[in-house]
Amino acid sequence: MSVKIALAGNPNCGKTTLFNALTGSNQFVGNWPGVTVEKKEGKLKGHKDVTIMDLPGIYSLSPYTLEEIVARNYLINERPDAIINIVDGTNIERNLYLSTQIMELGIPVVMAVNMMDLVEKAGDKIHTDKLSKLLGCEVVEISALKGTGIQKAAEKAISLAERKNEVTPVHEFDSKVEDAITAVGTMLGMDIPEAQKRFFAIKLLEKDDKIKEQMKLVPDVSNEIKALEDAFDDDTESIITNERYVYISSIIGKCVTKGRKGGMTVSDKIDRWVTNRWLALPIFAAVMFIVYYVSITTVGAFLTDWTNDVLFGEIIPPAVEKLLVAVNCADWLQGLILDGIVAGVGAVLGFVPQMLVLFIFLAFLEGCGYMARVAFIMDRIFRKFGLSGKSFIPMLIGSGCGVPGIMASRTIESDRDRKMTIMTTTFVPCGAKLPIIALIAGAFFNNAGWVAWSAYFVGVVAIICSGIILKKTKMFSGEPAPFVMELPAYHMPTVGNVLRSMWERGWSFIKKAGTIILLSTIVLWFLMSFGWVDGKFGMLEAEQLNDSILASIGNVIAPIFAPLGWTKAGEGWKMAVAAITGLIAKENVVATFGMLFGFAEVAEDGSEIWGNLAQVMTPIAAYGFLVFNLLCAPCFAAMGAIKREMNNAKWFWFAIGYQCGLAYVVSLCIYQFGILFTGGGFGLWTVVAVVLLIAFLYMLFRPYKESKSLKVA
Amino acid sequence: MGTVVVGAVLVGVVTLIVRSMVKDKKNGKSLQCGGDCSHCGGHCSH
Amino acid sequence: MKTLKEIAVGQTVTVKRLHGEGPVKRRIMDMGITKGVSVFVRKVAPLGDPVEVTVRGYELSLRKADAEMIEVE
Repeated sequence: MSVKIALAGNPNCGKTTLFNALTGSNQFVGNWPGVTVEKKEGKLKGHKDVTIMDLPGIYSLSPYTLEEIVARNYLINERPDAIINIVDGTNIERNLYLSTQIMELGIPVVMAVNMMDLVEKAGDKIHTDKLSKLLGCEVVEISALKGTGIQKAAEKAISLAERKNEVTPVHEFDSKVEDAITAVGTMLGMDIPEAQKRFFAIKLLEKDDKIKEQMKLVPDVSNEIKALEDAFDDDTESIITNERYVYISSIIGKCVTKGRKGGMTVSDKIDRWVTNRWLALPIFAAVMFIVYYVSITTVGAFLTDWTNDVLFGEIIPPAVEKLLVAVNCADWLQGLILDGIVAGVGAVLGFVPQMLVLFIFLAFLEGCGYMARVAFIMDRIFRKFGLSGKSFIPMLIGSGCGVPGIMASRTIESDRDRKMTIMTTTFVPCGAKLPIIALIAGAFFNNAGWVAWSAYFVGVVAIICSGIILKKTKMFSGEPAPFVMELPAYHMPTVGNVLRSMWERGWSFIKKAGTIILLSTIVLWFLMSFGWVDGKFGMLEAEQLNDSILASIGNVIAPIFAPLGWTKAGEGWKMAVAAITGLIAKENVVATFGMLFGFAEVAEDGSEIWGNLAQVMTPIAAYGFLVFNLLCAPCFAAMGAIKREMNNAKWFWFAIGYQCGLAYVVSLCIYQFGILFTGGGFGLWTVVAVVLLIAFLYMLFRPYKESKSLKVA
Repeated sequence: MGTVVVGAVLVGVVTLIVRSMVKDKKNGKSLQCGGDCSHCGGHCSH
Repeated sequence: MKTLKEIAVGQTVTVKRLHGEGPVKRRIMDMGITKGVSVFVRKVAPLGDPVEVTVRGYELSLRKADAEMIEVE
């Protein structure tokens, strides 16, 4: 028979490690229907008929966060045959809080006390036999990391599931609360089985509206609620939460013997320095500097140079060419493969090593617990412009690639903060925008270092201004959510976990090169190589580029960008086309210019086309072009990520529209004010730029009443 | 002759890419790292 | 009435009552800050907000605005 086992537990308790250990590579990752909470399912190793379901990490079964609602709907409606409740032994008191709620669901439960090795190391002892008796479920000691005890836990869960042993919660609350629960239990309809009565009764007493939708018959319990609230002088939700912790406090002394008391753990000692009042910010700056220095300039640059110059310079293209010549392939197809596909895809893959080095660092910082501290340190600043400390992590990752950056916004609980983070994350120049920066800096500004620095500066200012402007709009008004975050103890992440995390993020980038970019290079090549000459459609010679389909499309959209200074007669369409191909992937911009100016292969910074580019744009327009590409909607892949994370078409289009609008306005202002101050004269578009600037400043500085996060009763 | 073979291979590759993209899209995971950082192997290494 | 917001770093206090209602209050309570529990104020972030406290044997950070809901003694 087939058995379904759910893994439930707090975040950071080792659930994912246990899931990986139990299922191996046999996993299916998807999303829970309708929401962007990840759903992981796998088959237990050696048991084809046992499915393991990894529920999102949660602190409680309250109806307030998406993860909690998903987990509890699964537990109530799908009713797995057994639950393995993972409990972090080093932080057992708070972990047991969720356990008391899980016990009430009427599903067989095995409690797996994780990190037993660390508990023993600290000299503590957890008496699992007593824990088992006082909570009414089987308890197994495990170390998910070392793999000890996990088979036993799985086998226990299977045997419980087969015997259909329902747990009866043995924990008890205050007698007045128990009486109320019993009274409500008797009012419940027949559709609710005996074993789940306690759960539903408590949820009704807690005034949990979401649970009422799941019940056929909703009894009126307002008298019971009123009686309890009068007796305890508090709301029922708080009374029950309180009672749970009271029970846990009453048993914890019996179940846990503390070893040596006092003394600072290693984690405490590290934390004393790392989040020190004076040293925290300098240390943070130093860490960021090292991460970027190593991944962009030294190790990363070495690897990327090798990939670009050797692998995709001296090895692959000549080999492919030789092969194509050997099989006697037609010239046009050789052109498509070499100039289109190999050059385009190669330019993207060239970034992979750099990106992987960056992702190793970020995975390490996340795994060791430093990222939570970053959120702690930065929260005050980010609060000022409507974001949260946690917004910093997506932006850091976004400096490598926007796709995993946007994905990382999921850890932000507040809906409003998360949406705002998604909209602004891609303003940070990602790895793929670096070649555009190098191109513009080289072609117009003599490789000046300030161009790159200003690009990051523009990105940061765009985030800050957007935060302030957006938080004042109606769409983002409302109560900010609490910033209540666990700061997990520091620990050394395992090599396997760091590498897995690096690979998961890096893979999204590689996949993008192999799919969407490959296809777009083919389409682009086609659009460039075909067109109408003298009323006849056909393949073009290299010098007939101005007759290509691409040129026709470019000429249609070029007038839109004329106010930005992309105007040079007969050439303006090239900038428009480059910016449009940038929407497919930012890596395309340099490659597109290369193709448009008739170079089959250009270096990463496009040094071959610097001369051509300098002829078609003024430096001011070129800087505006750079800013437009930095701020406008990101690549297809990142837009897909935005769509998925917003999970709402209206919000998606709002985000894309806002990004493109901001990019257009900013580069319009740069160009118009640039030519005004360099004596270029005053025109209609200068007026427009002034009006837009005033509107922008109004949006930025208009009065706004900060809504406070608390409502003191 | 070579052109036909190379062209056929190219069409085959493109078809495979499109099919895998369509499949991913149906599974609701268009181009992602696996996403949820709290679920990520790098986050929770105990 | 003293709230957690006013407590200096290095002090241990006992929670007397939680004010407010709804999600924010529930969330704080879910994390183990309930009546009668002792809370040690560990440190303040470099820019003065949020604060880090030790409660029920683990570290928790919360904003001062939220700490104001927690009445202590």
